[in-house]
Amino acid sequence: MRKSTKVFAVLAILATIAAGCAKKTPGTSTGAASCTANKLKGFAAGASMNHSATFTAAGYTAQAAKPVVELGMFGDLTGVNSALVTPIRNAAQLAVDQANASGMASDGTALSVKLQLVVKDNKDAAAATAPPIEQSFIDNSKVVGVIGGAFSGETEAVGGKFAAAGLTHISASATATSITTHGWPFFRTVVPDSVQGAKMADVISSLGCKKAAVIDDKEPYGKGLADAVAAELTAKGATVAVRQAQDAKTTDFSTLIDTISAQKPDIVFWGGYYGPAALLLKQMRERGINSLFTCGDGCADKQLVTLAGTTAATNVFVTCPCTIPLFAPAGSKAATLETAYKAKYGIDALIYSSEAYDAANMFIAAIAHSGGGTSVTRKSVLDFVKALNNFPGVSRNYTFQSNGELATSSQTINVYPVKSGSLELLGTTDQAIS
Amino acid sequence: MHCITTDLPFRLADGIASGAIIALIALGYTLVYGVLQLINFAHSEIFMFGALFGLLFIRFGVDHGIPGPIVLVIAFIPAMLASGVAAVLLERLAYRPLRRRGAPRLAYLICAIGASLFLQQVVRVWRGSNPEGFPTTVTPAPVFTIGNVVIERRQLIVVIVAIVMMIGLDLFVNRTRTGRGIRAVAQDPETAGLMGVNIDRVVSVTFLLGGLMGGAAGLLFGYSFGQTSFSIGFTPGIQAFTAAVLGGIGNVRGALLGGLALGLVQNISGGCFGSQWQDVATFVILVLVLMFRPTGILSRSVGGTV
Repeated sequence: MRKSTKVFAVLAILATIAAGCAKKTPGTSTGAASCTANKLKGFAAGASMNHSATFTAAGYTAQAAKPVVELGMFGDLTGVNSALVTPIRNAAQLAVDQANASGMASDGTALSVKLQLVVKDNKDAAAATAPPIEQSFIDNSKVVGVIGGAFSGETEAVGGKFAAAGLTHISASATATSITTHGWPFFRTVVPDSVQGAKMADVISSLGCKKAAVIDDKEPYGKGLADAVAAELTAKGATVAVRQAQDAKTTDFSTLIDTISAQKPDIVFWGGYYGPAALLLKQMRERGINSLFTCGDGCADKQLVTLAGTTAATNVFVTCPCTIPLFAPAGSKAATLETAYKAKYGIDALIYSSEAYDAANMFIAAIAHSGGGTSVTRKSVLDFVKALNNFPGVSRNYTFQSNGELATSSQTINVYPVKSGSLELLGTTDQAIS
Repeated sequence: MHCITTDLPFRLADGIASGAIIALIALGYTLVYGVLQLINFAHSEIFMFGALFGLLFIRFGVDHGIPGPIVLVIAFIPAMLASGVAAVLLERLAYRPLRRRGAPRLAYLICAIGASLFLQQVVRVWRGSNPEGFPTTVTPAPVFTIGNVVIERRQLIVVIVAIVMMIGLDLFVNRTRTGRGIRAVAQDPETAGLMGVNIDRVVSVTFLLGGLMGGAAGLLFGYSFGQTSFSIGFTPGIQAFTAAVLGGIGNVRGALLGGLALGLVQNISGGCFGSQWQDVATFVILVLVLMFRPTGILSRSVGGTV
């Protein structure tokens, strides 16, 4: 025992000496300087989206006993994902309150009914508990449209009964590619992961990136997006030198960092959420890997920079099929939404609040166009939403295909580079391609 | 095979650094098992307490303009104390009542799982679900080279602290009176009790030691990777438990050996087969080792048992 204790002591002393004598070498930089987020078109200029504000605060006139029309909304409001779903609920509620206060829909059509948002909690976004919520909305004859679900699993679990009841449901955040293949009256105000992945890859390759590392968190969302990015990058002639996965519960990314530093890719993509993304980014930068780092909507949160640190969070961009009011340039519609949202709730409007606000406004317009709401039926709402043509929203203008997917022209993906320590909305992928 | 040729120096350095942290956590499992034959599944949360209280102190220090290196060094005190106290309280409140009543093993196990969930959720309610970032104290980045092995400052700090802790623990268990008590209870609690060893005190000290090591590991982990959250203990906890079994559970030096072996196997297998396979490779090796040495690399009877 004593002998091995001595061995330990000698080891410790040796290590200390080594630390003291070791020479500092410059950080091994990987990644060609040509492939950086700075080259995104409009990055330096700080181009804004040039949307003009359309909201006007109208005086609230109290009216007695208007008939009530209800909109449903469901999602995980108390479980593990509630931080992602609360903005959706809040934004939908804001749209309803604004319409009730002004007495008209966002397109100016007069409303003669009182709108009410009926919120149901689907804790932890479980697929098993979604169908009873679906049934409760169907059984409530005042409900003419439903916003939700928030996650893809719970959204796919409902739909059959909605179809039979002719009840329109619009998701503001479910992006799994498969949801729109079932042919029910389902619409979404976001773009599927397959399209986001391909458009992100187009931006990456337009920056001159040739060698990529594509990593995901083994979850359906992260893997699906990463597969789409890898496929499009390959199609564009880039090499996907590392295609690996790391469990989202992992904190120690050193194995992956070693692999990346050996391959020296000029771009690293993470398919997953911001927590592990920040870990990977921080540990990469500490190892001197300064390659472009990109991530999808799972990273579109200020926590990405907070957790990775502003030093590490450079040469980074995030894409999202969403317009996040918090990161929108001043003067845009989304910035106006941010102001109204913050005034009402005292917190910032985060991911998918614009898309939920738009979904609610579509329903409100559908109701207003049915005789101010007095002659509204589930069918009149469905017909109105199906026929929308460039419906002006905060996030984009909406036209739907027959499967409920956005028309190709409406499938915009926004690019958010990290600029001086904060995500900033640059514009769509098409605008960012240099 | 890049993983065992050109990348090997990197992988050795990272594997040893990761392994050193795992070994420190594994000590907590192995000490408690040695004395009580109990797998303390709540130890992963004791570890998480170290990371959390280390973070809170580092934040406080950095906000008050204390230089980073000093903050990091002093942060070991709150981190280790918080984990040590939490471990002792856990034993007092959760395990001792069961021990008094001579509860069956299974009751301890369920109690341990319950305590683990309880501590996790308490921290979740207090700190929220989102991970929290560590402010920079000592830049981990600057890279040193020893021969052709590239080493980061972070890895040196982790390995040196871990070795110092382990030497301290080894000396304590083998040289002090209390350490002799721990070894006596581990060998035969009844006889030790008859010989005048205060078993309750020995058990408390054992939990305290495991907690102190776990707290230091938590701080090193948070410092190394820059984040902590209520659920951070899960993966390192499982890895450390595996390392303790691999090294020979109940054996202090086995935990060290198991931790280092696990860190190296994880890193090298991740390099060879892709990081998605590293856990699979690790457990295949664990099963293989246990097939030939069912009691682990250093079995309980060999070398220094606690």
